[in-house]
Amino acid sequence: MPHAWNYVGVGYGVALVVLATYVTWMLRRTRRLRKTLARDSDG
Amino acid sequence: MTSGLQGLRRYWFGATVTVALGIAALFALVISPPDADQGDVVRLLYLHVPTIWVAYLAFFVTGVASILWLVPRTRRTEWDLLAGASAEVGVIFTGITLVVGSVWGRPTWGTYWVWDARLTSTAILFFLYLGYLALRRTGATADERGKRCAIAGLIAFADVPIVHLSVTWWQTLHQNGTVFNPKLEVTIHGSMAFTLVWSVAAFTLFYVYLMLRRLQLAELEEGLEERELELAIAERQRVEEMVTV
Repeated sequence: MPHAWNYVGVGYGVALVVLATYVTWMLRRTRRLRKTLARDSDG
Repeated sequence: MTSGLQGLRRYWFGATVTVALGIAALFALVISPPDADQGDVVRLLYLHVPTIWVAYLAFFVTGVASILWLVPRTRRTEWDLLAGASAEVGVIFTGITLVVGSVWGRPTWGTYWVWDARLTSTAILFFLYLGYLALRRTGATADERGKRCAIAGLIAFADVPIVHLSVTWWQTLHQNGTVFNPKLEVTIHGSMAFTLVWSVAAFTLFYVYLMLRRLQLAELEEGLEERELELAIAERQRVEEMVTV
């Protein structure tokens, strides 16, 4: 099967990018909201 | 102290999931052999099957949490948040399944997309839960949102068995299940079977990690929403008092 690794690379690449972006967004937003809520309760 | 311990536990769980996924990638891309017919492109199997499995699991959890929210005796805000968190993770994995399946289709079927029963029902599943997530963002009280989302979550779940059984019912282009087919005849063996089982287990752990983190974020969002509501009410009372004076 010609160029099989191209397809494998695209498949795994897309999955890696999507999941890494999702995890990064989730962790950053959690940190930001925690800080906002802590600041509000202090103030 | 408790939150420190929780943080440490979360860290170790995250590290365990990363190692499990790393081993899965090693087996999928290096150790497992190429297929006699498909060659190296068969390696997409170790990503395609676990992602749709996680999507099924995520939507099942959404369904169960929706039922628990609908039953008055077990109704708690947490069930609604859990349903939403799990559905979001499920949508991400369904999207990946569709893309990876499409990429796999090109070298094996000669096309990225065909309106086959499995592909079409999976696309419908993706859009149903995308609609569910949109519904969660519509303005309403927590109770109204919980009710409409729980009903929508259960209606959308009806598509999951249709997706799974579509290859048996309609016998179109997509192949039958490698393990969960009607005769339960496992059509994969040796290191390929091990890689598939390991990948499914690693992705299941990854789902649990993502879902717990998303649930935590949903609780913070809920807290912020309540805080903003309190501030808005206080501001309104202040303005009304000023007008009265």
